[in-house]
Amino acid sequence: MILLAACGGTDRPEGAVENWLIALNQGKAGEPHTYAPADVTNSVLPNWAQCDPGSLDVIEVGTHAAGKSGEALVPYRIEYTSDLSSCETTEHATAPKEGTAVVRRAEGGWRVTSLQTRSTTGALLVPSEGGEAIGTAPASAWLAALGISVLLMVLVALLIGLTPEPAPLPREQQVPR
Amino acid sequence: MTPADRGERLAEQTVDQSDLVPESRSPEYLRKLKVLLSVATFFNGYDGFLLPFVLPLLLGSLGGSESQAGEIRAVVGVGAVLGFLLAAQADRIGRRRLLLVTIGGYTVATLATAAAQSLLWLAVAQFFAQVFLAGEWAVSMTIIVEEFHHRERGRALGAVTAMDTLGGISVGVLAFLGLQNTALSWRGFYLVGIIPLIVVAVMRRGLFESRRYERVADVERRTHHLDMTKLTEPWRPEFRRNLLVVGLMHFFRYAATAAAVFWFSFYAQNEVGLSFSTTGLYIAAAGIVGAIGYVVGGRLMDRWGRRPAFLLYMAGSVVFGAWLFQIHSAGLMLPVLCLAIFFGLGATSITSALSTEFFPTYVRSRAAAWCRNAFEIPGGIFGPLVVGLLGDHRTGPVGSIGDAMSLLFVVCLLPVAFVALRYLGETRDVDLAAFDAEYEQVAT
Repeated sequence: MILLAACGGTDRPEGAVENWLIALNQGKAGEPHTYAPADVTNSVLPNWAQCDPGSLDVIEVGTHAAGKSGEALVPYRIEYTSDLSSCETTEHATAPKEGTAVVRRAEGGWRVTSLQTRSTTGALLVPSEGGEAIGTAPASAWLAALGISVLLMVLVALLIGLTPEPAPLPREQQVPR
Repeated sequence: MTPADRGERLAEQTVDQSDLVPESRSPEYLRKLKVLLSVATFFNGYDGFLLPFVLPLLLGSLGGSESQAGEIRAVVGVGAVLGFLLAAQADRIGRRRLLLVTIGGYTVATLATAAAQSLLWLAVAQFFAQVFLAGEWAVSMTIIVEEFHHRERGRALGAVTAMDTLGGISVGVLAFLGLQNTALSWRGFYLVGIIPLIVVAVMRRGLFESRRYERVADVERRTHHLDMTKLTEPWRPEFRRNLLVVGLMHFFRYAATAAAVFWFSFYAQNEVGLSFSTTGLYIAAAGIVGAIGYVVGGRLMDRWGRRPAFLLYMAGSVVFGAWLFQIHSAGLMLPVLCLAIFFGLGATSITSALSTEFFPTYVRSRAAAWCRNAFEIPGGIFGPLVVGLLGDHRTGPVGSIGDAMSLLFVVCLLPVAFVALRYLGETRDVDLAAFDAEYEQVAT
C-alpha cells in the first residue's frame, strides 16, 4: 500500500486549495504563502498571521473543473468562527464564503491565483452541497484490500506455524456464581 | 524439563490459590488501587489527545512551522516505542517501584513541557513524557491482572482502561471551558499534568507491591533461576506463540483504530463538511459512549471469556469502523461514531487482559511491554501514515481519507479476527498461582 501511494504520481489541484486553507487556519505557524499570493490569502483572513488557530470553522473543497488555458476551478466553502478579535484588524474578509479558487500549475505544484463567487446550485459544488468527493476508491481498490487481507492472513498463519505449540494453561476450578 | 514439557500434566491439576498466594487484598485496597491506576491511564489518554490539539497554538507561541510539527510528532512516537525499555523493567525492579517512577517521571516531563522555551525543549520533554507513559500503561495492566481475582479482572481492566478515553475527552472539555484563552494558553493544559504527582504523593504509602510479584521475586532471590531481566525472555519457546499471536493482534487492531482516531476529525470536517465545533461535540459525546464500551467489554470478558468478547468487539469494529468513514450525513454519523468507538476503542480492555494473562508473573510485565511497545505502538504509527499516504487529497492514489480508512479497516481487522478465531486461547479461568508455581518448581 505504501508502494502504491509512493508510485501514485497524482497532483490534484483540490489538495492545493485545501492545504492553503488549512495552513491559513494555523495562525502564526501556518505557511499559506506556499500555495497563494498574500493578497488572495488576506482576502480570506485579513492579518491572518495574528489570528488564533481555528479562525475558519469550516473548510470544504470539492472536485475541480477545467478552466481556461490550463487553469483548474476548485469549489470551496468556508465558515468563520464568531470571534475573530485575535486577528487585531478592522479589515473585513472580501473572499466569497462559497467560492471557486482559480488554480494554476506553477513550479513546485498548483498555486491559487484568484477567488471567484459561485452559485450553490451550479455545476461546481462541494460534497455537502451534493458535489462529488475529491477522490474515491475504485472497485479494484476494494478487491485489492480483500486480497491483501487474505495475503496477510496466510503470512500470519505461516509465521505462527513456525512457533512451537504453547503449553496448556492451568485453569482455576469453576465456582458457581 | 521445562514447564512446557510438563504442561499437559499441570493443566489437569488444580492448585488452591490460597496455598500459593498468601493473602488477598481487601476490597478497600483494591478500590484505592483502581483509583491510582485510573489516574495513570487517564493521563495516557489526556496526553495522547493533547499534543495534536495544542500543536497549532504552541507552534505559534514558540515559533515553528507545520513541517516542524511533523518532526515533533515523530520524536514523540519514537519515545513511545522506546518506552519499551522502561516498561520491561517492572519484572526486575517491581511493579510498585516502576509505577511510582513512571508517574513521577511523567509529571516532571509534563511540567518541563509546560515550561518549554523552544521547540527542541518541548520535543525532548515530550519524548520523555511518552517514555514514562508507555511504561505506566504496561505496569498498570500488569498490576490489575496480578491483584484482582480472575472473576473480577475483566471489570477492573474495563474500568481502568476506560479512563484513557475520558482523559482524551477532558482535553476537549478544558478547551470548551477556555483554558487556552487564559494567560497560560497551551501551557495550562500541561500544568494539569501535575495532578498524578499529587495523587501519588497522597497514595504512595498505601500502595503495596503486587502479591504475585513479591512471591516470584522471593523465589528468584533464593534460587537465581528465574531470568527477570532479559528483554527477550517472553520469546522463550513456551511463550513464543502466544506472544506472537497477541502481538500481531495488537499491531493490526491498533493500526486501524489509531488511524481512525487520528483521521476522524479531518474526515468529518474536510470530506463531510462538519464544522470544527460540531466535530468536537461529536467526539466528546461519542467518547463517553466509548468509555461505556470499555466497561461493557470488561464485564463481557468476565462473563463470556476473553476470546468471544474480543471476537464480538472485532466484528463491531470492522462493521462500524468501515461504515463510519463512508457516511456523508451528519445525522447518521453520530450514532455510528458512538458504536465505532464503543467497539473499536472498547476492545482495549480485552487486549490488555490478553497481553498479560498468557504469561507467568516473572515475565508478565516484559510480555505486556512487547505487546504494547513493540507491536501496538508501531501499529499506531503505521496506520495513520498509510491512510495519509493513500488518502491525501493532493497526491494520494485514493484521494479520499474516508475510503482509505475503510480500506485499512478491511485490510487490518479481518486478519485480527482470523488470528483470534484460529490461534487465540482463552485466559478467563487461568490459574495464575498455578501458572507461577510451574516456574517456581523449575527454579527450586
